[in-house]
Amino acid sequence: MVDKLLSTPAQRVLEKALGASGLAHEVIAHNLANVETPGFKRSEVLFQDRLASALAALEGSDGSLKGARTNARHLPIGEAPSLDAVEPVVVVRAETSLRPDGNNVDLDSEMVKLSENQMLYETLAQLVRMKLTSLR
Amino acid sequence: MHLFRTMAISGSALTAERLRLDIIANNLANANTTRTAAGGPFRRQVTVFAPRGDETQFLYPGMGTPAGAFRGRGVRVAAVSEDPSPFKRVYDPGHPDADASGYVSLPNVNVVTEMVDMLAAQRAYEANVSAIVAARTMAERALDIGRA
Repeated sequence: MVDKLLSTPAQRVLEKALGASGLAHEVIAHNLANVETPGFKRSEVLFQDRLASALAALEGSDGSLKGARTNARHLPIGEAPSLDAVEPVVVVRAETSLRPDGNNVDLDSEMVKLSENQMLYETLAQLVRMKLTSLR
Repeated sequence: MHLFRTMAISGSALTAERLRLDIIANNLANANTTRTAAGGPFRRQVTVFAPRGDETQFLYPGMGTPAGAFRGRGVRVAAVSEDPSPFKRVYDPGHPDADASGYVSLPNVNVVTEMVDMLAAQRAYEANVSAIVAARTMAERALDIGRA
């Protein structure tokens, strides 16, 4: 019973988002560390959109067409990942270039992302803390 | 979020930019050095940066490596090499280091270029300090989760 209290879907989502935000900070820090490295391509973390589509699919409100699966071997069509299967991924943005040496790290854009991600992380940590405190 | 690994990423950049600043300062200090120990004028030095960690991942947008496989570990100075561009030649027959035709070879250091590089190094240094401060603040908030 205790694990049902401590791992509702909302809390699992919060913890995942917290982990994704921590990973995003590492990726941003790596981009910032290589702002002067010739030929370096920036990376970013994709999580929010995947989580949003999984949540919309959960509520059935995403409006996409789903293929009917009457057999386990049918390929899934238009199905968003389940909430527990949503994971952050790191993608390298190799298709852009900002400077003649091929480096595409925009310092100001990365600093903004850093601040936003920090606020997001602190908000999520605060929410997790509030949930645990309310269980008391 | 790996606490110390994250700070080590930004710390590697601080070290690299500081070394770059040292090299720039050395270039500026020796902008007029015509007599080195090895003979000949001072030759400008350049730092070569390279990412630290595995950077050879090519991915289509939409795919990605799983979170656990992110290999970025910051930056390192791969080499401190010499600028091969030619020396400046100035006609000055009275100079002690003038050659037979009265020309002196001066270092290939352009002061304006060095100043601009210095600003870039400083800006990168400050950005990485901000990243370390952000990491530390985030870790403190995470620790607050368990606090009564």
